[in-house]
Amino acid sequence: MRYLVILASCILAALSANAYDFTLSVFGNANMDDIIDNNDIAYVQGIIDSSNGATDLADANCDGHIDENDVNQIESIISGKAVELTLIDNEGVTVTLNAPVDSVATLFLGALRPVIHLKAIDKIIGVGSNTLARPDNVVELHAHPELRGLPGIGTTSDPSKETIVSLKPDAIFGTLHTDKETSKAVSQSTGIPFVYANPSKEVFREENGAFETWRLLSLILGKDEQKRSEELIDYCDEKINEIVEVVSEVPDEDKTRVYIACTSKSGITSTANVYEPIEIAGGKNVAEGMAGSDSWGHVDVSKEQIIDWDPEIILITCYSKENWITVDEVLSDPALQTVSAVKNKQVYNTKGWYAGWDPATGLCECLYMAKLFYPEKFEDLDVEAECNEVLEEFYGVSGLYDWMLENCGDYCTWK
Amino acid sequence: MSSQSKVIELDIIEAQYTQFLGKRYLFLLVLALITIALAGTAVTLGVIKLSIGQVYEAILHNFLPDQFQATEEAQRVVWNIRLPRILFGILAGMGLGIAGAVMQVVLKNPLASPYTLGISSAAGFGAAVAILLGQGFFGSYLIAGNAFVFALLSSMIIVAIARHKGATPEIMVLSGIAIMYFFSACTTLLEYFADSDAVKGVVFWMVGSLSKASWNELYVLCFVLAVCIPILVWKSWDFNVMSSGDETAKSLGIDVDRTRNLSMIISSLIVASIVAFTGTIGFIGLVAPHIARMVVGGDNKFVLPGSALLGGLLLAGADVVAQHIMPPVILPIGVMTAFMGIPLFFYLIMRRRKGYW
Repeated sequence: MRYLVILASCILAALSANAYDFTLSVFGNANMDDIIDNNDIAYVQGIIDSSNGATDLADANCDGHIDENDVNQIESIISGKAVELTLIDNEGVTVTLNAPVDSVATLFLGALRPVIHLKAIDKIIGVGSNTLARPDNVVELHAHPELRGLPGIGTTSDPSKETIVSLKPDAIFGTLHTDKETSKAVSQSTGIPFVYANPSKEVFREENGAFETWRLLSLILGKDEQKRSEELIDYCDEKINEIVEVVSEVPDEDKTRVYIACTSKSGITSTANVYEPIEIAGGKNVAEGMAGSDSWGHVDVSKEQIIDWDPEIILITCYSKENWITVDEVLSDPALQTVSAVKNKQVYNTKGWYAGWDPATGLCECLYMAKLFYPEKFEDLDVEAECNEVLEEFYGVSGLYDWMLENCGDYCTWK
Repeated sequence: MSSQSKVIELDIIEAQYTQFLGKRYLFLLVLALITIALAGTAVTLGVIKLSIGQVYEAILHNFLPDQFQATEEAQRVVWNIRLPRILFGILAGMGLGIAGAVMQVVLKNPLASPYTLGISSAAGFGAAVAILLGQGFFGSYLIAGNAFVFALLSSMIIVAIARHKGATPEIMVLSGIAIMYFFSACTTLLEYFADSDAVKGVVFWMVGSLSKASWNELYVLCFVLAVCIPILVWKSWDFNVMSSGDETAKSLGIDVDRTRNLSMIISSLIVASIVAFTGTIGFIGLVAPHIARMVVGGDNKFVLPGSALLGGLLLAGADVVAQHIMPPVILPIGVMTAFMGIPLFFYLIMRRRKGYW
């Protein structure tokens, strides 16, 4: 009996550790959870025996019947064998392709990023021309300068179909910067599947966030990448949980009020109603609950509104030394002098979005913000060392955070 | 003696007219030949190096598979990538050119075009509603259907204003600009509260590009043009009479209102079916008819086909340059049509006599 209880609690612990807020959108994920595993095989067998109800993703081989062939298909997916995989990508498009692939072309930096994270950089044989034209202060390209030597495949809005055909990648990875009619035309005329492969939400554990993207792409890329995606997920979970454990003690009413200025469009008055690193680091985004103008949660507000919110910390997204607005400009803004963050000089740069959202630098921001919001609770946290470690884990190069401090933005340091 | 000289004068005039007529036919013929030559050359150009022989073998392989051999790659590149784009450019340019010419003549306004009358932006709004809200007319052709309904709505507003007593060309163009701003504002408002992913679709759609060209779209456009262009050319005599004034046209038995409404509806259909696949491409619809009119004069029997051929040539030509000027990057089509067409337009304006319009 004791053993049973221990076993049950182990199962529960394993379940809770893995229970993310998304359904992995791959045909074969019969039980509609966040991963394809032996439970799906059991679930399909349950459907065949009529003890389970059919689900949307149970027909693994998409032949219209749920039978033993689906069990075989799921076994093949799990073992990384060659299989015709059908999935629903980050933009909700159903794609069928032969997995694992040997080569991919990525049309935009946002789709290149997860491939680097999954250590599948050798499979990239072409990148978007826009990626090649990016400046030197891009982490991904600094860590992997060899990417600049790859052939360009045109722009996101009008990819060069001929170049793609000449390179013969097994799949094209793109982002929402290519609209669906164009991606459809590209894959129809080149005969190469197009997959939207970029988290469409800047979150870790939710639908279309980083975790789902890694798992989804790893099923396309191969067995090694599947293993790698689990490593990355565990790594992020561990780091996030370390922070959350500390900040969860802070009662809601005592949480640091944070305002994030996030696009150059309207200067300081453009904010976002959600930015997950703020939440993870235990801050309260003052714009939370405002109606966002898009799924990224952008909201335009007035300076009066900022005064009324009276944030204790103002963050300015910044990925370049020549930012669209500087900390000094905000500190000297006559209209904002009564705001606590300005009075107490608590205005800082943070990386934020750049060509989509990078979960690697996003994780660094969680650590960075935790120390900014609660310096006394994170007194022992060496942000620079931790962030160097995080970026090395994702990009395989040491000292990347130090390089970012020198090249990307005037982020706060505690050295 | 005097009657003899009159006869000689008439002969001379007739000979001159025949010569002029010949020149106009020649102009249309030359345009058609240049367009065919452009298509024939463009199909041999591309990132993938295929010899002229390979390209044409790939084309002919489809019709005579036994006589002509082609690699799968050449087949794919020529049939799926190059040909649809070239043909779509030509057809879309033709449609925009003729629609612009018709709008200019039935509204008696040299500044009329699908773009300046706000018809493109109305079609744009219709498509944005379809993309962002998933609401609209005509089921599977949701985007195109919506674009058409809104294009029609705005052209009906224009026609209503045109019929209003005292509607001068200035008022018409101002109304067109007002409609353009109104629908642009509506689109912006929709975008502001819509999901960014879908907005991205709208933005591309508003910019204008031939990137979505494929055979399916080509068939639809081909069908629309095959039905609409003959009707418009058939009506060209009525347009000629209408250009001398509504009263004159009415006295000659032309149902002016009916002709104007019908031709605006047909033009809107053409514009909507192009705009629904390419996004808003300005300029061609305004400029092609002017260039045609400068060359062939005011006879709409020649202006309409001339505008169509010129529009096709300009758009397809601009797209060829846009694709090959800095590969693999393909420049936006609107940029190229403006860069290539505007100097030509200015040249013709400076060279031409006054009052060609």
